[in-house]
Amino acid sequence: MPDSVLVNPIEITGAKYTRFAAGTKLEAVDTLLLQRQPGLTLADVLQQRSGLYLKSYGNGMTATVAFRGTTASHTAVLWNGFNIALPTLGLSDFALLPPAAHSLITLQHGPSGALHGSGAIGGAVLLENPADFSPNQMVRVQQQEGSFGHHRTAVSGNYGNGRLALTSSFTRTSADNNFKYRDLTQFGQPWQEQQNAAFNQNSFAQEVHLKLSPTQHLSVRGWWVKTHRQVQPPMGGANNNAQQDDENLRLMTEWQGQIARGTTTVKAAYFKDRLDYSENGHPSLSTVNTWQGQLEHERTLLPNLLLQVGTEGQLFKAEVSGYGDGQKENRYSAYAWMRYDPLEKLQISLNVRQAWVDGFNPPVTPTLGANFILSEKEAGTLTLKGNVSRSYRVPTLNDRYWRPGGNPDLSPESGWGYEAGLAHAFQQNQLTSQTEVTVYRLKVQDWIQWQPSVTGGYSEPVNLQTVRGHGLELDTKWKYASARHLILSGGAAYGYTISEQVLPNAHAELQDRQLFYVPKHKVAGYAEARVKGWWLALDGTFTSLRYTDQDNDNWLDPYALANVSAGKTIRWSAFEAQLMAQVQNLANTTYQAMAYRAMPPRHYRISLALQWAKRP
Amino acid sequence: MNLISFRKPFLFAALASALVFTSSCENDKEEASPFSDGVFVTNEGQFNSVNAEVSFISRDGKTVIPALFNQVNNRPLGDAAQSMTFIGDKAYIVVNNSQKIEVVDGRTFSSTGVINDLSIPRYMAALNNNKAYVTEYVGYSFFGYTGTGRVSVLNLANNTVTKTIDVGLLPEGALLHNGKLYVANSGGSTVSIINTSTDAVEATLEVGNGPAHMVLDANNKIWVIRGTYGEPGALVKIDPANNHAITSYQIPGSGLLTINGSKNTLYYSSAGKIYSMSVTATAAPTTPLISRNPYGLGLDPESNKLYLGVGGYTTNGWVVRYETTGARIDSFQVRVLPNGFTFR
Repeated sequence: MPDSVLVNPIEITGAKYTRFAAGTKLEAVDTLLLQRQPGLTLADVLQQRSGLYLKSYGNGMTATVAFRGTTASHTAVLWNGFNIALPTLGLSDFALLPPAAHSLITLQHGPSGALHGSGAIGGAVLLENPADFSPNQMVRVQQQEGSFGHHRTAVSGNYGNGRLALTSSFTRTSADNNFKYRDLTQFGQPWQEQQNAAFNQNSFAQEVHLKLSPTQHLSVRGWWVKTHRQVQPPMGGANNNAQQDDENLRLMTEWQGQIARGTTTVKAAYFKDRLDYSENGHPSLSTVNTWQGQLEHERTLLPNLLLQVGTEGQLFKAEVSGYGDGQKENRYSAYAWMRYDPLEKLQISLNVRQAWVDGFNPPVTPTLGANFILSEKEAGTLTLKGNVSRSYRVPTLNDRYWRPGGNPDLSPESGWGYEAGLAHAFQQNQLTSQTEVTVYRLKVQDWIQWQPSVTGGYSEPVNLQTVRGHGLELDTKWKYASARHLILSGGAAYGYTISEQVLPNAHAELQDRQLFYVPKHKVAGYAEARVKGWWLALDGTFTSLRYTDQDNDNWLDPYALANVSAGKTIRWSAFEAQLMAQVQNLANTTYQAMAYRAMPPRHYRISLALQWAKRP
Repeated sequence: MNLISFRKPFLFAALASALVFTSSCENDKEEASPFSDGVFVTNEGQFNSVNAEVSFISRDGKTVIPALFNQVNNRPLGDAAQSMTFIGDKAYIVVNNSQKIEVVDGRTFSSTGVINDLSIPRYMAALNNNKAYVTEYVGYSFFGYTGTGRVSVLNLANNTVTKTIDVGLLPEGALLHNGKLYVANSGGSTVSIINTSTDAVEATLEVGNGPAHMVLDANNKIWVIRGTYGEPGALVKIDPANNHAITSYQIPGSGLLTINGSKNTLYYSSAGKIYSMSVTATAAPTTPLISRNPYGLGLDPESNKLYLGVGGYTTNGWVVRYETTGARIDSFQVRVLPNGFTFR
């Protein structure tokens, strides 16, 4: 069917990592949600579909996600194999990552330093745009209007002729965010209109894939995002008319071919990340140019033994007003990934990576994982999974070069993770389901934190903390498809997270304290019905109490959020029109994801999409 | 917000103790305050987070109220508390990144008003119960701000700003002496002298890079601690009676400065250590009194005990009390980043 919206996305995963990730939890994200609920950010999708906690500083403002009780810095974000964390801050703002059309998004839960390099301590978010050479032509335009001055325009197109594949997508999103909220910090909690929270964002993504021969292809991908944001002040904080301008340009090229009895991939990338911040018109500027290169070779040594070796190099050149003069940093790493299936029921992966960074060397990071199929029947498969993995995080450029305070001699953070899980896939008649439960333990050492310097007058980063955590993750997805075009689907994700550091209480006795902004319980659920071009979808999340300080003296109340969306698709020959309506924050819940950052009350969005598609 | 319900038990405890106190001392109205014999600690909190607080510690160390403002007023104080000053029967808490001064009743600590229209306010000095001055950064020079700092003249009768006076970059400490307001311009190298009858700058003294905090000694000399990143600092003695003549005593780096009750011994921090120096000394000491880096430094003029604020940016800090001999007495957990002390 010429309708991408009806494709079931659950089965699609980024194959590259899956092969070497035995025993780990990889979760494909339902990216079609982004099409069915346009205007949702990647962060919103993760919030609605996973057990992850989203730290949001407001609608369209900085948003970060963290796995397993760690922080945004411990979440590696890779775009087609390249780490795209902002090198100065060492983290990714998900509000600045509007995924291009047809992106595959995979969540790697748990540490995976060997697979994903620096920063993959809590987990990794993998964005991939694989080549699709199948002959097709498609153009889609969409316009959305919503409450609080929300506008969104999206245009995308595909072309494929078997040898050449082109994909383009453009989005423009803007909002005034002038909603009303109660100011909890002022006497009498007066109603206020949110000030200084408008934003606009343009993004353009282009892919060109060329099949050079049956065994060789070349890909060029570009992703440009320009975002202007007023920075929403917290309640009780002053409105400094803070503004942030981000421009992120990412270009990469990839050649893959069969040589030396294996598959060889050569990749090169150039990123330019500009972050200009200003308060009351006074700017603080930063630009980082990053060059990256990767060389990989994968070979089947035996029918049941697969090996990939690779090496990567990164060069960062930073022009940051806080560093004094420009700074350069080189990072290299080499890795070997092995997948071995000694028995039909047993899959083992053994991966290892060693990184080298100017001035110090991070630890060797191995991962050993296995899947064992406990039972395999026509109706379902039950698999036991487990792995042990080490991870590391290189200090950020700010940690090393900020003046005063930056310390080039900081040690990298290092983590260990242990996990075990059961995965069940079920299929009977028109009903399918996938359920996975995982328990884990995590330890992160040399956690970097800024604190007042020993010699006074400024602050400096130190390898201060040790954080220990454990928890449980449960995911289940169900789908029923009847012969009469009725499709019911639903699912739930639950995260139980304990993440603790040791701190002294008022009597100077050391006690375990839950890390701030780590909810013990997070539940996300959704249900969707589709019939004859109509659909109705409901999703909800529950987030338990979150401490807002490390001593656990202050906290934010638990909250539940629900959203509903409905739509109708009309087809006529190769044309398709979709009309959609969304209600976000259906119950008009007053909540905060970050302390004293007002979040929007109930709001509405409607959109119309027109599509022309042709498949031979 | 759960902050409120969490703090209720503490609030009741405080109210109960206040009642007991009231009934036992009901003849003396001034003494009726549970906060009349102790120190108020300004906890700066994390910058860009609304978690500034004021803690109260009684002189006997038996009563510690870590989150006094929120406990009494059921709301957070704001973002980045810089300093607190008692003027008459009120206390004024300068909240730097909330661009405001919270006014509370000095006896009950309940909110009585707020002064707005400020721009990164830092420290206050009061001429009388109706008129005070506050230094304001206006902008951060390291953020590219190229304008000047300023001092705002405050009418405390109606909590308004009546005039602004341009001074140097990043004006920090303010000190009133003999009808003049001395303002240390920490982003430059000068002290501005403002005539309090005209509220205009009448002179600008060159003292060297990074003047920050000031005290007045028993001989009516003004001491300024100064210094900037990457170079030695100095204690600068200004003699207002002698045409503002300047004498400098080199110290390793800039820090905090306070003086004892008899106003004859300076206590200051420099390069992460605490030193004491007689106001009549001919050179700064080379041996520290306490080898510890304070984020806040105070000296109780009544008990002559030193108060140090220490801790990280994101965890509860500690107030550590020392004898002026350098002997440690005890410590109390307060809130994030204790940066100053106001004695009652």
